[in-house]
Amino acid sequence: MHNQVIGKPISRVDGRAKVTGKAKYAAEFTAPDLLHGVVVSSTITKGRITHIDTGDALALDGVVKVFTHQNRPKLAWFDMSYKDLDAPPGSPFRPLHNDRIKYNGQPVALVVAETFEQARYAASLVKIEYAQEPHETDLQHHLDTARKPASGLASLLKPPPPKARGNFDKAFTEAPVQLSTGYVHGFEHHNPMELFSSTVVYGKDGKLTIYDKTQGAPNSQFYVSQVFNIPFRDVRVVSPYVGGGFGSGLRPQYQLFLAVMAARELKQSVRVSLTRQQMFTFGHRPATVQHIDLGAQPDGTLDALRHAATAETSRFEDYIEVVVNWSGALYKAPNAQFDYNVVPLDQYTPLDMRAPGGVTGMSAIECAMDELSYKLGMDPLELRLKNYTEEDPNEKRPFSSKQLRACYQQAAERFGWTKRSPEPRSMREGHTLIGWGMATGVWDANQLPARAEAVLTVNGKLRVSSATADIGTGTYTIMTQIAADTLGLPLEDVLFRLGDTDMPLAPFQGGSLTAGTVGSAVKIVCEDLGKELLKLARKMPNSPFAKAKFDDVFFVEKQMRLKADPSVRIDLQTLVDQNGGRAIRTTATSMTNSLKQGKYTRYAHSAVFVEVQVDEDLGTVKVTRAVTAVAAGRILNPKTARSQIIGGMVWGISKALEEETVMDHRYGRFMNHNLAEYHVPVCADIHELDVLFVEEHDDVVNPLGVKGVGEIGIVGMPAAIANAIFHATGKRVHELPITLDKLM
Amino acid sequence: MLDFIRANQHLTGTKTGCREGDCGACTVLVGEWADGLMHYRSMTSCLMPLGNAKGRHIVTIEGLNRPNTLNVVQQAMVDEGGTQCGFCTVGFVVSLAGYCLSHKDPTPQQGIASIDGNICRCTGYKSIERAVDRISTALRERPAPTDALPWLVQQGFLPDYFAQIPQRMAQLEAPGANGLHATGIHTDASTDAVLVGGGTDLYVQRPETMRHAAVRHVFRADEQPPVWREDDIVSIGGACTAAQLGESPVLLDHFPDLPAHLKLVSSTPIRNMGTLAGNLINASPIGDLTIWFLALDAQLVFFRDNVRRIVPLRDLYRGYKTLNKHPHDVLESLFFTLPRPGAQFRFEKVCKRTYLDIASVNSAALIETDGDRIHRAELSVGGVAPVPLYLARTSAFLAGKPLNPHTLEEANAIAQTEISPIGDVRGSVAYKRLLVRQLLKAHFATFLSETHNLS
Repeated sequence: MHNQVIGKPISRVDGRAKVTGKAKYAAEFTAPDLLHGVVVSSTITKGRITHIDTGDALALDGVVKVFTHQNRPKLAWFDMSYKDLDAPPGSPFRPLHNDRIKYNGQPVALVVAETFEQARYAASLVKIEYAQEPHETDLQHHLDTARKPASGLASLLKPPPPKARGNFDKAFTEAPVQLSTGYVHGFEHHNPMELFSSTVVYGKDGKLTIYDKTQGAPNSQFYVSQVFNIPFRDVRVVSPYVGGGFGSGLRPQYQLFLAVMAARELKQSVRVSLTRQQMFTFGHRPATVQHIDLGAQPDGTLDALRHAATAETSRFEDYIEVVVNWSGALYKAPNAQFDYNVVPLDQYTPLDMRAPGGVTGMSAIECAMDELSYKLGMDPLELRLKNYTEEDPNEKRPFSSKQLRACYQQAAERFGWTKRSPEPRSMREGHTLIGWGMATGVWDANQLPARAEAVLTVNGKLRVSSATADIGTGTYTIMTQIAADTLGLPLEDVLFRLGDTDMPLAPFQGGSLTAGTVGSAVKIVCEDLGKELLKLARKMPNSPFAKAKFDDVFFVEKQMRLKADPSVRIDLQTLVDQNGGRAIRTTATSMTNSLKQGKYTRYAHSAVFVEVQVDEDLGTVKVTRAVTAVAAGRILNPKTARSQIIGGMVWGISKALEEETVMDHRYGRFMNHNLAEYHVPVCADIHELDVLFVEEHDDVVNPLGVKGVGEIGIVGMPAAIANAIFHATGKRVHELPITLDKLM
Repeated sequence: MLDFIRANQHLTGTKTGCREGDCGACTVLVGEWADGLMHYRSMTSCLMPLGNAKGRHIVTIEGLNRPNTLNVVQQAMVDEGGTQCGFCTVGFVVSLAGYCLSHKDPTPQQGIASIDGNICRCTGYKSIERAVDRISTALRERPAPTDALPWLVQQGFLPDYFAQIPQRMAQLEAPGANGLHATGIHTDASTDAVLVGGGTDLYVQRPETMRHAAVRHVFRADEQPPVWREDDIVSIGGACTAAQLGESPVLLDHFPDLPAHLKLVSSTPIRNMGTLAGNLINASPIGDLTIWFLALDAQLVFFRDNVRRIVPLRDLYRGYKTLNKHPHDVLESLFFTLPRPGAQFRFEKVCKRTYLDIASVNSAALIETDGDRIHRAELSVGGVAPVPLYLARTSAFLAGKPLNPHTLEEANAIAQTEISPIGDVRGSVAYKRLLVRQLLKAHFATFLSETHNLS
């Protein structure tokens, strides 16, 4: 491949559509006679619905129907049918299934009317009576009920805790320096800017076209097909633009179910949009309690490491995430133990949220390492380097690539770490306490199989498609770059499309795997197209390519050329013209090389250095400066990649200082279910952020050598900030977010 | 307005993100014709009653698009990577167009200030800040407000039709003609119709009842400025917005820190909509402007049945959201006596987020000193009682006391007996009590010599 645009800071190809407001999201597609559905949410946390009075609502002009568990249609019987492709083990939540209330905010009715206003007002008139039962929602009060989670298909990408190694108890007891510490964080909700919406267009033949907010159109199609027993071919899910996901769109949310149910029953198109309050009534990052024990030699060498985590889940599914494994892979402690448990509570099932488990576990271990460094009187960075490992101690296998050491060095240098005075509270300026902290980040670099199609049209334009998603990551742009370089075309001649189940199947966008996964499919399908072009060239009379193999040619400047003699060239347009007036079309699947990949642990790494200023009198914290160095293989587009890392770093600031959904456990209800009090940073909260990409070559992770960058940016930030706050104040806060009241 | 734009006009560029004015995805520009100029302000269309559009030029993202090419703001956002998922983007573009159209100096600081009501969950804002820098550079040659519109069109900031807007607006009937006066209420007030100013609280707290309630709208009238002064009495119309407060030469003369204080009050679009009367009558125990005016001992002028009645702001609040006021009383204006020269007026707000936040505790103080004695101190605090609280006993105690840390500790001891905070998402009881102490000290910090250690 001749790299003309790969590796260049190309501006987003979908930028124009987005800045002009022309990009259409799920709630913006319409249909003739579209009906509007508004969801009524449960006001209790656990119990039964004893009575529903829909009379006042139905009496209003324009109200078509109120769906409840009493009048919903008969649907698939077995749990199996409700399991979407990302469902954890258990029995998935079924909206309007029966009179049981399983969590606060559960959808209990759908009011459908001719206008949105009518539906919204009618929804406020639906009267529901409940018989309440006592609920349990507080993780910290129910730790005694912790148990091992059930395992299922989801464990494929989410391995269980590593096996114990050595003899932890003995090593810890005998260690000259010991640390036992714990960390806690509460609920968090993804809160993408776009509200979850589904517009279901009911076709004449009963076929459905669904515009859904999802990180994977195929998953929504699968779910609808199973639940409503409709053949795949009669359900098309379209999702060209997604207003943020961060994991929330990995599973179909209940508005999809409700909109499809209503459209099928009423034989009319229906749209259902959730409110911002209802965005707090499904998946979330689970509250987690962690415990870490470290035993070390006076020189910092770790002898013993134990990392245990307990997270909440719902009563109906065992959500799991990888929390404790990272510690074991990052530090070579020869005696180590790991444990991971869940506590089922009366709330909705948690859901992957940006760097699920990774940012949770790494926040704890990297704060613990910081605590240990003070116990040892050792520089926190020195302690990391002392325990650096070139081999994954969990799996006893090498890393496919690991430039973490370079990350530490380059970020520390950029930050000026050597100028740090080690004592806490030693860097004050008047009433402002200044602190410097650092931490490490690790995240998966997985690849899954994916399919793509490439079409070279009769006018020489390339159209590539795959049913993946772009939730703001830059997928449209990097896929366009890969396709353009593979076939030597300028960007403007390439159109990449996604988010449509009529396109070849791809996994949902999550886990930072799209660049490597779909990117590989795009590369392969374009190469296959190139092979077709070569066949056409070979067939031409007196063709100089007659004996050429695919490896003998390359594509550049809209031409195919011979490597051995680049003056031997032919325009792609000429080759298309040879195809009898037809476009050239190829479809391909990129498979993973499991044999090769299985021999390596494949991670992206980062090192984060942070400066905070703490107002001594008021407890307010500012992250004034942060440097992240990232080793994530090949960077396809430094502009979009940098945006992803910066965005992740700001999520890290948010997690460290602002973000938490606070529950009133007396009612089992979230108190701050709005954007006024569920704090995410505003522009004024964000100061100097710096990103360095460390060069890293990796030919194992995938054919492109890329590791995703959607998640690695957040992973190290919260710990680095917490550590900087300790350095500034001398106060170790063991509970995220570190709000001002915890520092006073 | 948001529903009208999206459902009736089928203009889906304006996004629905929260319907509570918290996120800015639905931002539109609202243009008024006054003093021979167009004045554009950003507002969140989700909270804007359609009636408030009367006589105004409403600009959505579609109204900023140029045929076949991007405008300067849009191009800067694309080039700098200021858009990711794109959902908040349009709101940012509209806010930044408001910055281009504003009559203030085009500095990057003003540009950043214009997006203080826009939340982005993807970019982390740095790319948007770079776009703001580019836009600010492009605006450097912008002529004076009288000539700015044609220049902005010519330079590609705006589509062509903007050049004709002043003519078209001048032909419209003055919006105040049939409505209410910005600085006084001149229509029959003895009606049950809800008086709506900016709607920034009403439409968050009572969206369903407001949709069905009879409402009366407040319009700006040209003849009276929103803030005026007679001798040492300053009056402010009830419909004066927070933004207008911050632009009033009278107030800026005597309260030079006012712009800094107002930056802490919600966000630009909300300040462009929310009115002073709305803030006071909403009776939030943590209302920023309420706390501000409590310290100034503002007097309220209520109007009903052609009779005016004066009520001290300090007597308005009887309990949580309970007012010493007849339902038909309309808050026409307020007035206060200017502090004597040399007096200090301070406002502090502690919240989790830098801007766009509700305070954990806020506090205002008017301090007049004679040498190293306190002549007069008027203190108010919010978020620590069922009502916005004037610290009557603490203020009385401080009068005539020497200025030293000991006095402040005693004052704090009294203040602690006046407040009754509850623990909630904004902080625990202990933390709020501690904040009252710290803010009390912060108010007096500038008077104390270096040797007095605050902490």
